[in-house]
Amino acid sequence: MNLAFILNNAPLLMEGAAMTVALAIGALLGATLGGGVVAFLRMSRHAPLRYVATGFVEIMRNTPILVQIFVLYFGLPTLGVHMSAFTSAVLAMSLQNSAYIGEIYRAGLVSIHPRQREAALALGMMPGMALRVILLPQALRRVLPPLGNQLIIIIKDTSVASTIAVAELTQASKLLLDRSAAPYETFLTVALIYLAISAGVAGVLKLAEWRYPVRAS
Amino acid sequence: MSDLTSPATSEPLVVIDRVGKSFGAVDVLKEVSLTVAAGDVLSLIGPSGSGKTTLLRCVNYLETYERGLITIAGETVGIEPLPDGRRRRKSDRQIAALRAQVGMVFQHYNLFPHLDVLENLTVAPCRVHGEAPGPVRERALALLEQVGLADKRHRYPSELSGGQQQRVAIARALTMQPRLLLLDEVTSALDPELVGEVLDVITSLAADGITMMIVTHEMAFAREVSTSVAFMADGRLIESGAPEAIFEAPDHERLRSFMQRYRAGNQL
Repeated sequence: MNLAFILNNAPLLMEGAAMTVALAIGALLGATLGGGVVAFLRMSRHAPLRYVATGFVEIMRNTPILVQIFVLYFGLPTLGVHMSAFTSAVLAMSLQNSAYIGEIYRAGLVSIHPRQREAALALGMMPGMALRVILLPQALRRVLPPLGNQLIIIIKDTSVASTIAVAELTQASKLLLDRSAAPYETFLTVALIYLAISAGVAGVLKLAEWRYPVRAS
Repeated sequence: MSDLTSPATSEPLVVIDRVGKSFGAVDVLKEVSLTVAAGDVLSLIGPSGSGKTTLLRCVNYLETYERGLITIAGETVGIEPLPDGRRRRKSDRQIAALRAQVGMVFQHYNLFPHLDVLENLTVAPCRVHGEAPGPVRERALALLEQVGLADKRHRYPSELSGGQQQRVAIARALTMQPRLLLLDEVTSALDPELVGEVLDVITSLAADGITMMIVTHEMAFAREVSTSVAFMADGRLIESGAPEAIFEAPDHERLRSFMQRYRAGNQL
């Protein structure tokens, strides 16, 4: 066990970890907000909007994330659209996970009995207020477990950005591997850092589940 | 404090004028006309599928209706008749404003499970009317006192019995200070031993002069609490009048046989 090697290269690993966290924050925000848009469109009363959203979901979840990143990073420049590797990675992960998270939100909303909406409307709430005050709070509580899964998947998927040379954690570990032959120490350390980040987010979600429990009606 | 107890005026509070509704080819409401004066308690009775719940749900526009017109205090419900005879749906805002004046209690209580009892009562007055939380809270606590559940104010609906949940639902509707209260088979989902506590609350509201339209299968209760009773069958209003007349001297054959079946069922 070559601990000295890891300690000597700690700054590089920490920079990589910071970049991984930055990618994850960008993709988590993009996907949780984009998921809201997808769910809203999927449940629209206007058929064309539903079709567009359904098409988006199917394309996004039926193609690999790596291919999507390549399309944005290598494909779009031929159309004159240029973006950094970081932006490409965050955007691709936001788009794909918008599809997954949109379906999670939608599942939560359709699981709330229509009587809840009726009761809110009968009290004089407008449809938007009924959604915000009565339906969404119940739906989000129900989907915290699958939402947590998806958020953790996003964090781990940030490693894919190493393929377009974003200097994140996995990329850093590959650099270290080139410098010396300490693969065991390097990848074990990297795995532990991913574990720490993911477990932190999982812990926050557990806390949220405890604070906002699902109650029977 | 509210319009609920305002004395009866010459103009009825609710006017249902030749209302008709169809689900596809089936006419579920046919030319139904009724009026309810302020302070009245009208019970709608009749066999299942007679259209009484549908009619009640038209009064706060949870159901649309295609023909005729419902007005509450002179304001048309849900639709705007145009001079050329066509009808236009009112805006969501107009419909919501009308619903805010009409309380509704449902068969399945429909309390908000993520809010505690007190929040169930205060959420609509605070959000819909933008009322200050303090006075709303006080009003809500007084109503919980009235339905005998002040000690449950920090419980969640899932922690209450069906009868308690329904009493909370009644208090929730009243916290909005409606002009009219609609009750849709409010004891039908309850265990028999819990029916009495809910009916007692409604009886006390009637004594307070709160205007109500009640869809019910509880005939003894309807007779006791109502100022008038309307009997419906097959989407039609067959007969309406004072409770004594409806229960003791029904004119129509349909109503007579309905009463006979009811009495026979009650003796079993």
